[in-house]
Amino acid sequence: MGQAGHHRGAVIETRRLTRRFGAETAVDGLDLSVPAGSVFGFLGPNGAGKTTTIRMLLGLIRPSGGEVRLFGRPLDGNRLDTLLGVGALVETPSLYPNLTGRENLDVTRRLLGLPGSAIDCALARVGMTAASGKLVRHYSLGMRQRLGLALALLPEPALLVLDEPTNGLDPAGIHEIRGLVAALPREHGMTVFLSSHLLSEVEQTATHLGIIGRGRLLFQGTLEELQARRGTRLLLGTDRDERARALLVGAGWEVRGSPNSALHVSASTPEDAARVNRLLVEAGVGVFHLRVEQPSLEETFLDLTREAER
Amino acid sequence: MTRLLRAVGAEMLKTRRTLAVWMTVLTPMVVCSIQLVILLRWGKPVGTEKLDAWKTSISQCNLLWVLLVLPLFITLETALLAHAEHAEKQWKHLFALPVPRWAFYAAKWLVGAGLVLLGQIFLVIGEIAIGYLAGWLEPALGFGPFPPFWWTVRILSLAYLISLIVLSIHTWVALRFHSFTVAVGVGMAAAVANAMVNSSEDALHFFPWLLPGNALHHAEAIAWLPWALTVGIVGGIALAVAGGWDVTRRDVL
Repeated sequence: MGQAGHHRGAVIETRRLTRRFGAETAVDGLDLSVPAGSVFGFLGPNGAGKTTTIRMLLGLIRPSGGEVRLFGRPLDGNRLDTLLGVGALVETPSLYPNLTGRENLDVTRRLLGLPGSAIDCALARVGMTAASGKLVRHYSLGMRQRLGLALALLPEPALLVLDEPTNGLDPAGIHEIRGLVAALPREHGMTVFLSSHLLSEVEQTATHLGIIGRGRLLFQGTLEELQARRGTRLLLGTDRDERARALLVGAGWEVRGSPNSALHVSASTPEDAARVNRLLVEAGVGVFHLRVEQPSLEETFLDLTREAER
Repeated sequence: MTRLLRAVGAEMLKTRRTLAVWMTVLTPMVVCSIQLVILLRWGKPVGTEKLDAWKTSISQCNLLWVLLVLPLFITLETALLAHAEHAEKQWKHLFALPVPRWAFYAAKWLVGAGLVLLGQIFLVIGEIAIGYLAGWLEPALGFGPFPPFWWTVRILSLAYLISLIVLSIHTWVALRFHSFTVAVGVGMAAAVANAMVNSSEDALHFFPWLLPGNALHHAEAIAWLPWALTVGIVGGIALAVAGGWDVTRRDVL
């Protein structure tokens, strides 16, 4: 891993990182800080700017403004030295279908001047040793994804950047990749930067989260910090939802919920629950369900990104 | 230098089981097969006052090669080599590696040059082989026992060196544009233009795709061979550097 492997503090830091494509701003003043040894889940809906950010982190595209620092050094001007400590899988794996799995790894091994044993090591790590002699054109999607991961792991990087690594995988494949990614910091001291558009995808593996929406960073911190941001709300079941909604909105409550689903009222205390209940019952609306609850992480994430969309 | 050698090694590995390698054998084989059919249908001595049967046959073969086939061969080789990277969006993997971007471009150019050279070597072998075969099947053609090996090598070497500028143009087009159609289209347009501007005295000196063909026509005597070699080699290297600069500074979107 070289010097990069011993870096403490933030492995990735971006300062006011911005990328514009014509009039459109894909990434807007991003200040990321990814701690060493973490699994950093980089979340956002499709088109939020995740892949553009990752491409800037890897030097594939130049920022319109701001700076990327990897292992404490600016990427600009130190691209080759800095990337020595980085392994990446950006979107779908880049593989040569006319070559076997082993030969595909050998292409990158030759480019990096690594020993032949690095191939065996990477193949074993992703459980692809047995299939490594097969031509990649005959690989399933899951096998291709695992080989892509092996490519990223080949140089034993200190930082592993994975862009939607479970895209297109079946549940078993997702579970497998998830387990592998979670073990990397523990077993090999790697820092993992993992992008996804699904919170459920990363919440079991990530120690830290960054949430991006419309190119802006909406949240950054640990899972616990995100949990602490969750408020409470009142879950309401009535026999006349539309009437109940009108009454509550008229009384100044904020109400959410689609037709044929429970109503969510922005109330947080038992006293609020009692007031809501009284208002509805006195107006002749039957209340059959009333509960104060905390939204899930997924809902908090969706709320954050929906706000950014507005 | 080490980085370049590594990149060339990786590039060579990528050509395994590819049409690009098969083309180096198949293309000269097609040209030589056509020449064999022509010889056998001719059926009488093929030599002239100036050139014996060997040189006449090889010159005819070379003419077909350099005027029509070589530009298309270079087009296809460079397009196939570049397509290997464009097809599965390899650039996002390659350019994220701690390897200088120019090394990828230079390796691509060198392997392209190597494949074209291989094709020319097979052409020399094929031209001599069909001479022997035609002479054995039809002794009246007048092929002697000793083919002009070094004469053939000299002419095709000149054509090869002059065609480096064409290689640089097509390497740039193929790597710069993702579309296989664009890469092949430029080569086909050049081949058509070759036929159209062939009679223009000015074009003979400046149209890159015509230069190798004219080196063959005039290799014995012409004064502008040094000019053609200069354009081919120096122009080829200059364009390779310029193309590499253009392609490697681009964003990988």
